Amino acid sequence: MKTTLRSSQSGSAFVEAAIVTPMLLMLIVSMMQFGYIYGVLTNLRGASAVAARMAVLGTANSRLDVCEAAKNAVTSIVDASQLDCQTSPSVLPAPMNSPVTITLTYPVPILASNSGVLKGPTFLVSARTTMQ
Amino acid sequence: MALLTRITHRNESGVVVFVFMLMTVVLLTSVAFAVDMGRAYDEQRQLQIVADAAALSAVGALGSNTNYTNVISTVGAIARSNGATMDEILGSEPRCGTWEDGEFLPSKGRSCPRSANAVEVTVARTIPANFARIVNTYSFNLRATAVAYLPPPEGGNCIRPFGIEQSHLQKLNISPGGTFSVSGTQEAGNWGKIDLDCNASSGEEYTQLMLNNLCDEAIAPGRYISTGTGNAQIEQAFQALLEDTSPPYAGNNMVFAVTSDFGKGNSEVQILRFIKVDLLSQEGSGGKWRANFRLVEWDAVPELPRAPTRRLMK
Repeated sequence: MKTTLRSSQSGSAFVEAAIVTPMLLMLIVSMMQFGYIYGVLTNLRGASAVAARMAVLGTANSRLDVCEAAKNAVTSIVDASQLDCQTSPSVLPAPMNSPVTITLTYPVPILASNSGVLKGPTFLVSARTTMQ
Repeated sequence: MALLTRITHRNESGVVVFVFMLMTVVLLTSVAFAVDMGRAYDEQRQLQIVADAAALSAVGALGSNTNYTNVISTVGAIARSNGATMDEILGSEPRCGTWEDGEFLPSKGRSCPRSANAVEVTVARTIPANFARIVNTYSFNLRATAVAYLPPPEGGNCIRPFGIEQSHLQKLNISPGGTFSVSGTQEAGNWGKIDLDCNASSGEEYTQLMLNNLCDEAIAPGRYISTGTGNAQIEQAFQALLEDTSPPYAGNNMVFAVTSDFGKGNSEVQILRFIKVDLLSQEGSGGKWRANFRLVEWDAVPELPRAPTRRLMK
């Protein structure tokens, strides 16, 4: 009986690896996904601050100028063409000393969906800055 | 040698487990600090954005109606909109002050005098540590400071709160390049303060308006406007203009209103046109001063009043 058990250890490492590897991969992909979302969020925060500053300093002639500034402020991890830019008020420049809020929203693609493993909705990340 | 080899091999048993445990502790500690420090760094960036936004917003209110309460309420409103609490702002109260030679000089106490051209905002936040607790670090104290200031206007074409009667200038019959004087010995008539809705109730405030011409009021020929009193205030303002020695000189290319005749008291005058002048000198003192000007341009076109430029310095 002992002899039989010892000989059955052959290949056990492969089986264990087969069980652990998907879990490990999922952990790694999750970490990458979380890091990506966090990076996008940090990007949007900075970009919305840049755009809000431009809006209140009167250096922008229109809402389009402000949103263009936001798109130029994001780094390459964000696809600027997918960036949604909302301003409040919707017409800029705003009256002197009135608050302006810039809200940027970006649909972060789920990494796993790119490989075809997971088809799902994108994850919306949003950042907002108000100045006056 | 063979004996040594056998002994060594026998002693390797359990070494991997020992090394693995040791490395796991080191690795987990590193990861814990990386996570906590990363979060603290991100919060610090957030706080800096809040401080920047609040300082820029507050300094924008300085040009029209300077008041410490207004500054506090503006800072509070903007900070709350950006995710900070009042406690986080008021832990280190916002301060008004002046920005001179690259340095912020705070005003005394909780005040915001008319001369203030800068606001400092500090936001402080304490965030709890998660993993760093294993090394007795239970929280991180974060702090971000921003100073925003209003730089002096680059041009001198915005209208100053001073008017000269057209009838007086017509009698002088001067042309551009010629000089003329206005004298503080005169009674009502010939010249005077005009009210640009800038709250210039004190000499200090009037001087700042003459230096910086930061007014909200849109002025155009044909408009009736209130006049003000205060002979000594005008002399004080002219003296400050002369003492401004850094280019662009505040006393150059000043735009004054040319008005209908001034009456006595605070009656209204009508704006007829604008002239551009250089302030050359001032003689005398008290109520017997005389300011000498060079006429630069008849029918000058003043720039429209605009939002003051704001700059974020730190």
